[in-house]
Amino acid sequence: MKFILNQEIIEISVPLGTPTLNFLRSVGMKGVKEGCHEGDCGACMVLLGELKDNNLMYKATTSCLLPIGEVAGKHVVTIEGLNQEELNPIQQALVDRGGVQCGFCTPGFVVSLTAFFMNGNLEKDNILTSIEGNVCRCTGYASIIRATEQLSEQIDIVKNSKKERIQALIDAKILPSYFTDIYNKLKELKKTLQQNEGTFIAGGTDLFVQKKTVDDPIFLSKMNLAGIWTDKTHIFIGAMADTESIRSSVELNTILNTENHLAQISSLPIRQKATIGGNIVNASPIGDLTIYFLALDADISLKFNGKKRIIKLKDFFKGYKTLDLKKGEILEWIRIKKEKKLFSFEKVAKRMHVDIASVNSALSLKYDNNKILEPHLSAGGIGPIPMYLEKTSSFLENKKISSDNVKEAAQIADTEISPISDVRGSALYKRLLLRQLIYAHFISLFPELEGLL
Amino acid sequence: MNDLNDLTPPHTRGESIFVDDMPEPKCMLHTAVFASSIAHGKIKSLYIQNAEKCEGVIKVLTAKDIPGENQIGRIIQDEELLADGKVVFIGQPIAVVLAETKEQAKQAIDSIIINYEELPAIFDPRVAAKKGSLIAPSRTFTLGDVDSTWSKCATIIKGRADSGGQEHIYLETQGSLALPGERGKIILYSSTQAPTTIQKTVSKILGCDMNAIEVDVKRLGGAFGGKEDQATPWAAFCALGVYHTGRPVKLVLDRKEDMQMTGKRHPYSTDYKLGLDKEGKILAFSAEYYQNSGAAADLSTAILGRTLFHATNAYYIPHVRVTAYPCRTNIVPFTAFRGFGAPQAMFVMECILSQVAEETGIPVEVLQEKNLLKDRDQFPYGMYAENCHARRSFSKVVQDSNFDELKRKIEDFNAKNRFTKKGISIMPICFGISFTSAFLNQAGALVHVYNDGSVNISTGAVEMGQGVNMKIKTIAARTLSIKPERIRIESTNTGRVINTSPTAASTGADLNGKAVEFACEMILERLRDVASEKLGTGGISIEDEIVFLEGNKTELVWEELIWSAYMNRVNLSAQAFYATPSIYYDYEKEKGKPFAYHVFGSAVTEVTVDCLRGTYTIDKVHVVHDAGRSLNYLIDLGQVEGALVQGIGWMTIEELQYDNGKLISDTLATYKVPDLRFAPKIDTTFLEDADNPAAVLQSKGIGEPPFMYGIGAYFALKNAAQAFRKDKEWNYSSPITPEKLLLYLHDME
Repeated sequence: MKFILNQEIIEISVPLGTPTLNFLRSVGMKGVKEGCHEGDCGACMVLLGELKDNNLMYKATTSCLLPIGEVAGKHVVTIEGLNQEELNPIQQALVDRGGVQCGFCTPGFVVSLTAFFMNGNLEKDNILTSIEGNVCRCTGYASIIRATEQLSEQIDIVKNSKKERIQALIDAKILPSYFTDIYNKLKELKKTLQQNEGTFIAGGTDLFVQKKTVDDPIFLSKMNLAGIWTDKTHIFIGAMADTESIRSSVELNTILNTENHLAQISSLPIRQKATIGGNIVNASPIGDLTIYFLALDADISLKFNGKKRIIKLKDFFKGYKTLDLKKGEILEWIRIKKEKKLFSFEKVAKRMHVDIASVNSALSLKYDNNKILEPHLSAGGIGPIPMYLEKTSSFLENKKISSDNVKEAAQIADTEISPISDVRGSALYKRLLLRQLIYAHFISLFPELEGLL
Repeated sequence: MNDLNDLTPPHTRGESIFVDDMPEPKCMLHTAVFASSIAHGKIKSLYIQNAEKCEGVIKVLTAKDIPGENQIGRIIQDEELLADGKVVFIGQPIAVVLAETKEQAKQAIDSIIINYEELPAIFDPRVAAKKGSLIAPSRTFTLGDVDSTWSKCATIIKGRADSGGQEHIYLETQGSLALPGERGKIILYSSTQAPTTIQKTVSKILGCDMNAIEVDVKRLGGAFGGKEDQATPWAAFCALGVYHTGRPVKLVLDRKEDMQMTGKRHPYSTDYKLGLDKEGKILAFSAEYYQNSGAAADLSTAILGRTLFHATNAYYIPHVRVTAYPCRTNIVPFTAFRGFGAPQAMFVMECILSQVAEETGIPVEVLQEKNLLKDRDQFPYGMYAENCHARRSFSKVVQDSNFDELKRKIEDFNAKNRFTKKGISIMPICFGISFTSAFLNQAGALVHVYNDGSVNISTGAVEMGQGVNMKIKTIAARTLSIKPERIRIESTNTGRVINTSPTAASTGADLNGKAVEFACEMILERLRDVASEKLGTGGISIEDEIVFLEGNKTELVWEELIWSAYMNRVNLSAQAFYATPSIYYDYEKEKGKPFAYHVFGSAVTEVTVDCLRGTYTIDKVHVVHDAGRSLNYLIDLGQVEGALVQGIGWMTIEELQYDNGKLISDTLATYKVPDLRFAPKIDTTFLEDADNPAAVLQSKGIGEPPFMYGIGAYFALKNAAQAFRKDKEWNYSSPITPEKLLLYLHDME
């Protein structure tokens, strides 16, 4: 397979499931550091550039969770590929403001901040979002935040430049000049052929944590399953749509506040990689997107050799990591009704950002004539599967909004769940937390309940 | 000179070399460690033959392959390098596979067969103490007469406080690379804070002289105490591999191995009793600290000592009796971590004051202020407070943060909001600087001036992100009065600077910097003679690389002066030594002057709790810190901020969770350190007019003290939570995770 590593096109033959981090370090890119090998620290961050609809797009991604097969035909940029003779303004800001102590995490921060300049909406996006996936144990972040403030000048320069982004960044000395050639180089590269046997890989953000390499990967990213589209009655989300695309989807944000709800999920580099299909098929009892869409009464489409069946998402989960999925079947899309409902999503984790939930929960309902209609309540972390709370949902149907009804609903929910004590909390905590999150759903939808619960 | 750390630019380029980044020598072997899966038991049989037959495997090391002593204990000799016959904790190394590739080494691990006879295990330090399972005898510090004072107290409170452990999460995991040299010599590159510890331990394990082992340390990707004694086994395995194969050997732990197999901050459980007069003046204090030391001593006894040294924190208490027990349990030996036992003690003292405030109704900040130390107050260990800035920093932080107004605003806010509650706290600190083992307070430096005028410095200090090399460079540049660009700081190498103390106890710059100052002065004195010969007699000085005679500028500049010295066969190299003067300690009486000086400061912490969900944010921390005359503002600011956030992490979300002695929070997915969003806004001011005659260029050690400002987060959260409900007894247990907080705020019917 071929790809561009910094400024050179290279051709390699290594097992396609090899983590890109391991490959990069083996060829001397020692600025790419291994901190955790599970996407939680950002020390191994690289830029991944590819042509999308003929546009060259870059994102920061943790190279430990990136199988090398995924970079075929793309541009991988390591810290070495960002270095110029002098420090660039990002590097300089980190030095000027004391944002560097031991230096082990620093290249990762530089790469993530560069991604902000390359792809961010410089008018609107918060530069800090770009580094929410980078852990620093030395500085306490204050000096790093001061360094980002020093970059506001560069943001203005790039924002006000009339040139296209990459040229503007080269002018601002944020990128080295070889970036001008990348577009044409990528066009030249032909993608290697898709293999057919092996493990299906979506975003790989959990798979590569569990198994550090994969034999014979099949990259679903090449199967055209991404995208979000609508018909008259439904919004469809392709199984390979990544979490960040879902978060920022115009279609979804017209009926839901996904923009805010999903900002609580992992970090930007992981959101840009983790797919909804992967989240559902992985069947983690705590999957945020799964819980989210369970409460929207979603359907899913499963496809095999041209045959297709559509089932309710809630019927897909049969037991711990057991699915109604036949061999060879692929999750094609998920759909929800195109209608506006009251909706609430709650997630509590030990750390509120970039952490796995202790309990998460979502609720959708219509409220008409003082009555709850079509309520759907889901919760994660309280049983072996991502749970649709059937009894509680049907209890709520046609009920009035009152603190008694909410309390009773929470009590019924408590009978439906079977949390266990584990690293994410004791069973007692999870029971209590679900109760509180049910209260929180209703308080955020009906603020008048606040004094009553 | 500006205050940048000009040694950091290569870090931003990814060009700084850590152990795992070094070019790998030809024929280098990789390693994998086979560790105990049970907490306590006898090894009935160990079968490694299948592993030795695996593809690529060169050798499997076990205790039998150790030519010298199978012992890595430093203070107390109670820890085997490789378990021989019995295991005492989960994660204890039993065998090490040496193979051509890392994958092969890891794979071969699965072919090792072991049979255990399991024995009962202890995880709770109180249970250990009850069973007499102690690492060493308990220690007791006394001042005044506690027993006869209780009857004079208007209020007496009793209680219990528990604090959890903490994982270091240095971003660079533990690792080492060993190279074979001539005639049995081994060169070790290691990510260690204690090169000499490794040199000495490895020589003992191999049964050779220390001079056969050379340890070289360029830099560490963070350490925080976690690479003081805990770096040793990995280096020792590599050395042992070289000994048996004659080939280079590398061992770098992955994150999970590192978390499972290396030591952490000690959890403590403490019973306390405290008495006050009517006005809130503390009269008497007693406590029993149960330190969970883990399965072997490591540094536990020294850490236990520091707990006692800091039992009264920044307060003066006339009658004290505090006892601490180092309790042996079946968990990975706990070890040094920033603060070294002092944070655990200070947490207890603040729990006590918080409880007193609840019971007496006297606001906690009034209690704190009333009892703060002042000059000539005596510590329980006999030393007197000098140049004490406890009261100054406390009143300054109250003023700078607008504490009184903040408190009023918070009360208003809390009255208006049902579920969102704000809280506030003040945390004063007093921390003693010096190794409490007096002999460790020594350092050496080697300064070379090459005949082109460039300077090369070696010391015993290890750079781990704390900026010690930049401080040393600053000290040398100021002492020689030359441009810092001329100075290069070399790696820390046991061949150049010998018998080094670990870079620890916030003393790295104090000790090594002073040795550098001395060495530079020795060279300067020789240079003045050279200048005198050239310029004639009179007072010679050098300022900004120019030689002055009797205060008058001359034509003679640094490079020329150095060349003249060289041509006149003057020694342009100096080795100097520094030992902190006038510190001593009598272990029998538990009295002395263990510290060169104390560091003071205070912090105000503001938080918000979502009482519906049990979640919280740490909003802002105001710090007033005593850094003496700072050697480098930016570096010291970074130390304050970084330590503070680490301290907050310890108090809040960093939770070590075990299942029968097995760590289950063993990855970054399950052990959460503060991230960018969790970290508070920090406003730091350094005390002015706080020169410190007891350290180099009037500065103060800074690595550890600010960690303890983080304790304030716990009490601010308590303050907020109790604005929601007060009818329930507070359990003084840290970390105060969202789980514990929610279970306090609500009851499940």
